[in-house]
Amino acid sequence: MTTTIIKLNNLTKRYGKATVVDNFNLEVEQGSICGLIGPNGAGKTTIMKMMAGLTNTSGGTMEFFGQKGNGITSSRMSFMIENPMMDINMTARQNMDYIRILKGIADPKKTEELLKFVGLSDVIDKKAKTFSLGMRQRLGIAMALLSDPEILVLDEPVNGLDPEGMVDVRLMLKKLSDERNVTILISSHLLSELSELCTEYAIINGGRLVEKISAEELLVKCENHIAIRTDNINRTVALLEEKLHIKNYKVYRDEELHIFEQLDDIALVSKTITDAGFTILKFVCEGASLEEYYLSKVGGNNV
Amino acid sequence: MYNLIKAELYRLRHSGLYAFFMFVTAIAMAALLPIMMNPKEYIKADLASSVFTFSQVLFAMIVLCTTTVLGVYVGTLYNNRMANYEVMNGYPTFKIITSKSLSLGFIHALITYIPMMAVLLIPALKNGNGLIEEPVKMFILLFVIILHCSIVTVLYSMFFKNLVFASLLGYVRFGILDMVPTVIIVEEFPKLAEKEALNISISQQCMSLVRETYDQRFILWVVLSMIVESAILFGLVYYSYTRKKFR
Repeated sequence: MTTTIIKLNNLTKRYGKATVVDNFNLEVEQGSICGLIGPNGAGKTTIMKMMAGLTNTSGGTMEFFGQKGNGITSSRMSFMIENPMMDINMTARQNMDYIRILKGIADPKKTEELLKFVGLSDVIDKKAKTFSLGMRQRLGIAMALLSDPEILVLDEPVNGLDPEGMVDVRLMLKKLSDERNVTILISSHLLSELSELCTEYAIINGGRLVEKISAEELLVKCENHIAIRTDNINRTVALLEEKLHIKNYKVYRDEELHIFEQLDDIALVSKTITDAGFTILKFVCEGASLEEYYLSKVGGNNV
Repeated sequence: MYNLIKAELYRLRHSGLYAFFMFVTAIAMAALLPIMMNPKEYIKADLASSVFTFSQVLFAMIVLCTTTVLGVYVGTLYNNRMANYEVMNGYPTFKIITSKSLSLGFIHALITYIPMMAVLLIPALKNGNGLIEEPVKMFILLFVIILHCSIVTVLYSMFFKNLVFASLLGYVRFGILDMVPTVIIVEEFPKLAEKEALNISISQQCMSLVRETYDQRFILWVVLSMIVESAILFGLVYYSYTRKKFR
């Protein structure tokens, strides 16, 4: 049985006359990884700031762990919003220890464990000002993990990371979700990264929730054609027109056939082709990527 | 509250800014030592005729310098967004403001107080000017003044939440706001100046102390002005925190 661990009801934020977040509703289940995606200025960071208590709400309510609290967080939640917050004149260890003391965590070993976990064990005693942006992101994530949070809210956590670093962070977050059942709310401009990580997506535009969709639902919605390659694509097309009365299709120059119907009976399509003696070189259900799906919902170019 | 103070002191201990500040203070004290030992030999102007006045000028310089350093320190907390951690960890606003102003204020006052003690004590002991008739009372009052300076500097910096504004505070509050009105009031309203109008002026408070012209009534006014200023600032910072205009 799933438990709703984050519940945002009609969350609203106004700056003067401008409404940045407009009656935003979101429910996140325990253990899930929810990707918050939307164009620049959609209100993603503002929502996270309201959750962290860094800015007040203009309306609506927030519930964490089944308890109401506007911006009131606890040691069960951790945040990394915008750029990681740290004292650049202190070392990685000192920054971690500062947060450890602030959170009242007694065990100093945890600092080294987490810095090792995020791959900063070699630079533990180097000042943060010498770190690259990616290293600072890792340190920020390590600082957020200090209190063993049940909810982790991350705003652009892979920003500035190299491809290898992105994979590391993705695997780390997956590990946290799988092994510790940590619920993660994450925003990122890199939709390809999110698509490999998230179990559900919340698409936001103009401060409103456009759609909340699970990864499974997205897969089904995006699967919009069957891509086929055979040893004779023209005769295959003729065969399918004759036998299955397929009309909604397109043949591409690279001799690949895309069929936009019969998606619920792909076995029949496959059998028809093989029974006629054609060799199937490719047969796969394909769909739009998360980016394409997102753009179809938001209708813009900027994420 | 305990964790807040402990974390703040930890950060203070490892701050590169404070290591630099301590180094500069030590160098300055070493450089000033010969002058303090025998000011009349080094300073030929009228200023040198009074060890008291000389001490007062030094006091003003040290307070200006140290409050600016404190402003930079607190401003850096906000520039690096370190101050956000306390809010994100669910600490109540009241506790955040109280712990920061008290811990930083007290430690900073102590750092400022030690060179001040040297400035006032060394010439007095060396020259036998009889500066101090009631040393305990005077040094307690002096510490209270410096503590007030430090605490309100923390509060001003917390209100501005900005490194540049915070670093200018020493000059704004304890330079322009303190000294300029004092001069104007003395010149334009001498009768008023003789009464309580200058009690909010740190330099005036110090002058009265080192000249031992203070009386019971003066002390009460000084303490009252300190409480009023601190309370107003605390209210402003609290209001700014509840507005939550963080970066």
